[in-house]
Amino acid sequence: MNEASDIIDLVASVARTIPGEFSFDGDRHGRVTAWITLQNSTDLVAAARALKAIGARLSMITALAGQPEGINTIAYHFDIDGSTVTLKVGVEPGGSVETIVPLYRNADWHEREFMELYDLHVSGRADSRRLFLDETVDRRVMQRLIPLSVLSNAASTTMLFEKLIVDREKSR
Amino acid sequence: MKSFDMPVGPLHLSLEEPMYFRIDVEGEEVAGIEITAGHVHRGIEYLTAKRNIYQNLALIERVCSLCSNSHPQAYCMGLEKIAGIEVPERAQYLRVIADEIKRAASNMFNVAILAHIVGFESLFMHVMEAREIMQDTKETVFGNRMDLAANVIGGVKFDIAEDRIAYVIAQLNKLEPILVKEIIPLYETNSSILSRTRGVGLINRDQCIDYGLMGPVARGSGYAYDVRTAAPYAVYDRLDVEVITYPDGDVWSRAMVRLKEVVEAIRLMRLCLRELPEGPLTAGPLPFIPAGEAITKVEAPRGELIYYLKTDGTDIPARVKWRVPTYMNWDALEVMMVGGRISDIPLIVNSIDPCISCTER
Repeated sequence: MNEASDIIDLVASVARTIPGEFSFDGDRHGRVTAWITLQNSTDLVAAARALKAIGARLSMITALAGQPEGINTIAYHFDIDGSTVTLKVGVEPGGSVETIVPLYRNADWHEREFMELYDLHVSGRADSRRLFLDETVDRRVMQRLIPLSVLSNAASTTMLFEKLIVDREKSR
Repeated sequence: MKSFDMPVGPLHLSLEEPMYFRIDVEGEEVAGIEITAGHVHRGIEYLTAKRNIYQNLALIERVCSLCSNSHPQAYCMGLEKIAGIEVPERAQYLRVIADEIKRAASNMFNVAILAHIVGFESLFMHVMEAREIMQDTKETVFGNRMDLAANVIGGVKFDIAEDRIAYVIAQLNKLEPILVKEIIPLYETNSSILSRTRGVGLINRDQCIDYGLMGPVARGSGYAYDVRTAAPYAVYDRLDVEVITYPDGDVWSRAMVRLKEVVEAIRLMRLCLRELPEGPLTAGPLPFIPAGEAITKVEAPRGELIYYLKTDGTDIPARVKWRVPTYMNWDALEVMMVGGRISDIPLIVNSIDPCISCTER
C-alpha cells in the first residue's frame, strides 16, 4: 500500500507532464483525493495512459452537461490503492473525446452511457450501441425534455421558466 | 455442430430483476453473449438534480433494496466532506452496524438463490429462514426490513439503546451457529453444490483487474480489494476487517466469500456493539451545504460503490453520480460464460449477484 505522500508524488509527476491544473486534499485515514483539470481534451489518452503506468484503475466516468459556463465536463475517476484521482476534460456541446477503452476495458459501458444521455461523443470506439435507452429515443433526451416534476412545480419554483428562457435563447 | 441463438430474459429465475441476454450456443456450449439492458432505467441520477439535497436522501435509498443502506451512506459522506461536517463517534459505529447487517442479509439472499438454482430446495429454505433472523433484527431496530433510513447528513437517525444491544447480540448468537455449523459446512462439502459450482464460471485475478471487477466476485478470484481496508470510512480502520479471498475464481469461490463475509459481518457488529461510545447521533440540525465537490466510496455488499457529488451552494445538487459494483460485473459474464454449458448459465449469472436496479438507476 502506497503512503499518501507517495500517491501525491506519483500523481504530481503525471500532472507535471501535461498542461493543466493540479490540486489535492487528504482525509483522516491518509487517503488522497487528487484533481487534474486538463487544458486540452486531446491530452486525455496520454494522461490516462500515464495514470495507468502508476497503477491506477478506472472507477467511474461522470459527465457534467449543461453547466452554466456552457462547456460540458467529463470527469474520469481513478483509484490508486484507495486514493482517488479525477481527471477532468472540457468538451464543447456536441464535441468529442477519444475513447480510453483500449487502456481501461471497463470504460466501455461508461462511454456508451454518457453518449446516449448527453450531447457528447467518443471517437475511436468499435461499438457505440445504446446501453440503456432504446434506439428510438433521441440523444440527450434528458437534457432536452422538461420533466413532469418541473412542470408540476412551476407555480412554486422558477425552474420551468429558466428552462424555457435558456432553450429559447439557444434556438435563436 | 449446429449453432443457435438462445434468448434469456428479461425475466428469469436467476435474476432478481429484468435483463435480456442473447446467447450464442454451439451444441451444449456457450459461444458468445450479448446483453441488452434498460428495462428498469429510471433516470434517478437526473432526478437528483430536480430535488433538494435533503429530499434526495429518500430518493437515493430507493435505487436498490439489497444495498439500500450503502447509497445514502456514500451520499451523506460526500455532503459531509463538502461541508466539513464531523460525524459523531457513536453515529460512525452505528453506521458500521447498519452497513454490516445489510451485508449479512444481502449475501445470504444470494447464496440461498444458488441453492435454489441447483435444485437443493431444502437448503434454499434453510438459508432463507436463517436470513430471517437478520430481517427480524432490521425490522426491530430500524422499523424496516429493507430500506433502513439509517443515515442523515451528519450522522444517523436511529439508536441502539442498552436493551436493544442485548437483543441484537441475542439475534447474532442465534444466527452464527446456524451459519458456521450448518450452512457453511453444507456449501463446503455437499456433492450437489460442489458438482454444480466448482470449476464453473471461471475468471482469474488478472481478468478481474482488466474488467475493473470489485467485491466478492473479484475476491473470489484472489483479488483482495475491499474499500473497508483500502479506503476506510466510518470506524472501519479500528475494526481490523478481515478481507476474505478464495483463489479459484469459480461460482463456488464467490459463494464462499459471501458466506465467510457474513461471519465477518457478525464479528464486526459484535465489536461495534461492545465498543459503542456514548454521545450524540448527529452533528447538529439540518446543515447548509456550500459549493464544492467530493468523491466517496463504500463497500456495498456487492463491492465498491463510488459517489461523485457537486454542489453549487443552493439546496439543489449540481450533479450526483454513482457507479455500483454490478456495473462492471455484467461485462465480465462474457469471460465467465463462454466455453461453459447452457445449464450453468443461471448459476453464473447469480454468482455475480446481479443488481439491475442499481446498474440502470
